[in-house]
Parts: sequence; C-alpha cells; structure tokens
Amino acid sequence: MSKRVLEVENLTTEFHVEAGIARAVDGISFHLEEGETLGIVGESGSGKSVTSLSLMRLVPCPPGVILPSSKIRINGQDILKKSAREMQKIRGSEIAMIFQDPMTALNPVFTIGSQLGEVLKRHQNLDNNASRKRGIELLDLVGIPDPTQRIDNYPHQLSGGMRQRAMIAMALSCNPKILIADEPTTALDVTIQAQILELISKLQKEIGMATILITHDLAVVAEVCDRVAVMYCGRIVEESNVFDLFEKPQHPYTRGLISSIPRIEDAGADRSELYAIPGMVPDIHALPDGCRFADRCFQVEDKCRTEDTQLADTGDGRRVSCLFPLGQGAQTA
Amino acid sequence: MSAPLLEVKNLKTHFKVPGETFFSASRYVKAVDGISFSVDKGDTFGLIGESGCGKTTLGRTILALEQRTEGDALFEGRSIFSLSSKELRKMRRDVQVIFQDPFSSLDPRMTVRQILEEPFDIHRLLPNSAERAQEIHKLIDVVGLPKAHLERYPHQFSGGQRQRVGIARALALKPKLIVCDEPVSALDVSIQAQILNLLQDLQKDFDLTYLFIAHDFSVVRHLCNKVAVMYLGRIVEIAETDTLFENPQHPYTEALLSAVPVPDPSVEKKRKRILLTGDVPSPLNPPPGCHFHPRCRYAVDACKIDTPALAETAPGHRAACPELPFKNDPSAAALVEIR
Repeated sequence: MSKRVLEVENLTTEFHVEAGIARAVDGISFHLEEGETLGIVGESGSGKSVTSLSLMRLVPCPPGVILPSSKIRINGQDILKKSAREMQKIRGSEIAMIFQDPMTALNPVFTIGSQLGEVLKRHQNLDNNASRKRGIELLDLVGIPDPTQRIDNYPHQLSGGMRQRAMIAMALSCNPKILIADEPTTALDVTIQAQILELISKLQKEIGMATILITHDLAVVAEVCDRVAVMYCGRIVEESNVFDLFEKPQHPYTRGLISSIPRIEDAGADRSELYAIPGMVPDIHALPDGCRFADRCFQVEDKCRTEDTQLADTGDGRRVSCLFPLGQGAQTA
Repeated sequence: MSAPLLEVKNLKTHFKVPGETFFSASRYVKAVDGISFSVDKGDTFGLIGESGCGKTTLGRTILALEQRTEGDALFEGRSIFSLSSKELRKMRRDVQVIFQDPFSSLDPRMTVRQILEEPFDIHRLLPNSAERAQEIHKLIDVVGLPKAHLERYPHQFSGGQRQRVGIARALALKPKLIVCDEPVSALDVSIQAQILNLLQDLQKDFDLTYLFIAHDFSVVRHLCNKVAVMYLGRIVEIAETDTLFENPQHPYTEALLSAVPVPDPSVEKKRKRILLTGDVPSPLNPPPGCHFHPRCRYAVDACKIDTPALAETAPGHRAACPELPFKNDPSAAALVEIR
C-alpha cells in the first residue's frame, strides 16, 4: 500500500449569502495516494471547483467558510490549522494548482519571467539571475519553444496552449507533492488538449507527484485518471477505479452521465436518441430531502425521497452513495 | 436529384486589419477563403474545426450578417447577396440561427413571451393576438418548457432552458434551414444530451435542414450525416460522416480524430495518438502552400509551395491533400506514434 499524501475528511464549505447558506461542498471525504491521478467529475454547480479551492485554502472568506469539523491533511499535517503565513509556504511547495483559464489566472501587466520569478524568489530564495535561469529551464521543461525569448513575453503574446504551459511551469516551479488541475484543458482545442494532457502525465511520471484532475469531461477522465470520484450537488456519489467506473457504474447518476455522451467510435448510422438524464440539477438553496438525485433517477423509490444516503463501501475499494446501487451484472446502459 | 437547399460557391470573407505601423499596408485576415459546399434538404451538415478556423464567420456570412468578399451563396437557387433588403427580410424567415451562448443571445430585459413574439412583430405575421398567443404556447410546448415560463426573464433560467428558448425563437417562423452555431458547447453533458435529442426530434417533426457548426467530434458524429473539416479558412476534407470518421483522407482530420479522447478507459489507456506539434498558425499570416504543412507529418517540399485543391478520393469524398499519404503508404494508416 502506497503512502497517502492527502486525506480529506468531512470537508464542508459553505457560502453565507443573502439568499441563505449555500453548502457548496457537503461533508466529502477522499484521499490521494503518492503518484496517482484522482479525477473529480461533476457538472457545473456540483462543488468540484469549491473542493479544489478549499484544498488550497483559497475560498474567498467572507462569504465562504470551511466548517471547523473538516480536516484536510497533507502528509499528516492538518492544513486547516495553519496560519495564513504558514499556508503561504505550503502553497506552491506542497500543493499547487493550475486553473481553467490561463488568461485570467496570469497577470496581464507582468512578463511570464517576472511572474515565474516571483514564485522562485519567494519559495526558493533565488536571486534575480538564478531565478531567470531556472525560469528558462522550466519553460523548456513544459515544451515552450524558444524559452529565452518567451520568458520576456507578456501573457497576451502567447497562445492559449502556451499560456497553459506557462501556468504549468509556474505550478511545478517548487516541485509540489500534489498538483490540482482545475479543468486545465476546457478552454483549449482538442489538438492542444492532447498536448497538455500528454505533458501533465509525462511530468507526473518524471517528478512523481500526485494529481487531482477536476473536470466535467468523462473522456478526459478515461484517458488520464487512475481513480475517480463523481460529485453531485456537493457530495461524492460514487468513487471507484477508472475501469470499473466506466464498465459497471453503481450509481444511477454515473451511469446516466456515461450514457449521455455521444460516442465518436460508434457507427452513427442509426443516429438514435441519446440517453438523457431528465430534469436538471436542483437549486442549491432548495435541495430535496433524501437522495439529491431522486427527482432525476430512473429507479427512484419512495424510500429515496425520505432517507438520506451515505457513501458506503461496496468492495474493491469502491464506494457508492445509493440505497439501491446498480448490480454487478450486465448493467451497462 | 433536386437542387440543393443551400449552395456555397467559392465564398470568401476577408477582414481588413490595420498595418503594423501607420504607413505600412493594411493586412487581411482571410477568415473564409474560397469555400464551396452544398446542403440538401433534410441534411444535417456538420462544419467542424478548431477555434479560429473560420467556421463561425462562414455561418455568419451565409446568414448575410457579414459582408462577403467574393464568391456566392445560393439559398433555394437565389444568391443571398443580390437580394434587396425587402427580399432579404423574407429570406430570413426561412433561414434562422441558434447561437452558442444562450446567456448573451437573449435580451435580458424581455420576457420569454416578448422574445417569442418579436419575430412575428418584425415580419408582421399573426396580427390577431389570440392566434399569436396560441402559436407561442405551441412553440414553448414543442421545446419542452411549461407555459408558466413565458412570463419569466432569461436570467431566471438555467443554460439548458435558455437554449430551449433560443430554439423556440428560431422555430417561430417555420424556417427551412437553421444554422446552429455550437448550440451545445456551453452546456453540461446531461443537458447537452437533452438538447441534441430535441434538435433531432424537431428535425423530424418540422422537416428542418441544419447547418451544424461545432468543434466537438463526437457530437458531430452523432448528429450529422455530412461533415466538412475546416483549417484556417479552407475546407480540407468533406464527406459523409461515417466515411470521414472511418477513413479520413487528410492528415489534419486523421490527427484530430486521434486527439479526441474516448470515454472508455480500457480503449483510451492503450490507444496510440498522433500528437500535432505547435499551435494553429495566425490567420493573419498563414503558411504558404498547404496551410497545414508545418504541423503535418507527411509534408514534402511541394506542400510548402502548392495550394492543394479539394480532389475526389472516392465518390462523395473529397480531400485537399495531393500526397494522399494513406494511399501511398498503407503502413501509415496504422497509428505509429508517441506513447
């Protein structure tokens, strides 16, 4: 059994807004092992991005609050107990993050080099010359052509794919143990997406860091992840290794998601109807009692509407939160 | 065989941009650069390409929302660029559009009812208010929204519901052709499936023809019966959907198809893929000859000079690559690459 680099227990993040308390993340627990890639999948509003911000302790406060019953342990240390100053040291060196939109995540009025240098100077105490040299090395590592020129460029002078590479260089600059990638390829074209995913998995092997990939795209998950947690309305509804998840999903929501993707490899001759999950995600201020997926579920029973579900072990390291999990038989839709 | 519903002939849309300095000559972005294709009645014609390839500009030019530079587009045999403004307005009843972003394409200050009434006002149809109300009820029902939603404003809806309103508006005047510009790319998967099914049902019920602009290959494969692949303002390959996906004849199509991840880990983890190097070049300064040659793994010297024309490789299948790499080198079809 390999080492757990990250353990999250009962993480609950709330936003206290005018309309009431919105519990964006509701008591989720998961862990991350050394060197593995965990996918967190969910639709918009499922709480996946708030989860990642909570892990970095970057939830804007107010209105956001991480409840004190939550625990986030990085290498055994609870980061929720750290002071803001200690947290600054942990960010970057222990845990780093890349964001969906590199144009808004980079500062438009500073060059790539000065933004990279800021990280290196702060965390590794390098001087100007050394940080510039290391910056060029990093840009080269992430495959930016002509790094000696590019380091003096401003973000707008780079293409989308290159900006994302620069972001990755920045995240990797202090050799973090954990990398959180929040929708790293959503804003990119498929050919560039393929390049970036390839780069992340290559660097992961070289540096040996653990990665959390947050995405809504199940195809990307199938490509790069080892283990997957599916989120719905702030909770994890299913957790499994990637092969079993796609082959024998146990939660009706997971199965619905998988069957609603149009398949490129299918002969489209009949162009039959796609399976579509009826209805839509409930309002976060008016969540239903019982299972939150009940109103959209094809096998809902009365019990589902009153009884709350818990994430329960189903063997093989899989967990599912459903009163009537889908069987092990030939149940792929 | 009857005449096609829409025929595009060597269409060009160039945008003038200022030169680098005050005195240097102005430059042109050739967003659409000599495109020809035709769409038959009842087709779902997919137009696919990466960002900046000109697919949206092409759609907008066909809708006469952009000035064409050269070439022609014929709707039911008549050039849309030679129509008087009165005739153009009439044509717009037959050609409607669904936009990508349901957040910015609906007026936030109008209720759904007002949004759906507007087309009837503009075209002075159904002046009788009872008839009009009935028609609007029918429309909202067809796209699967409850009648109570007619009095709501766009911000009260989710993305999927807004897109349904956008579809209802496009259907109001019973068009023949609908240009769908990335109608599902802003939506979540489960909602995307609902909208794709709705588009398919409507096509059957109302006898519609779609020009479907997208960047998502799996959506195009699911929905379209013909596809054209665009790269930097030109069509590089055009064929029936299944033919194109199973037997791509242009290196760009081949690479694109191999870059699309498949939602099946047992396939995905073993698959070899062709990784294209570099980015799409700037459309201001595209490479000479074949625009794709700097990223192409089959490129030879001639590719840097000659601009390849679309040539038939099989009946109904045309590709703009004279090297025809897959024909000359059967082993090339097996994807031997990185990974």
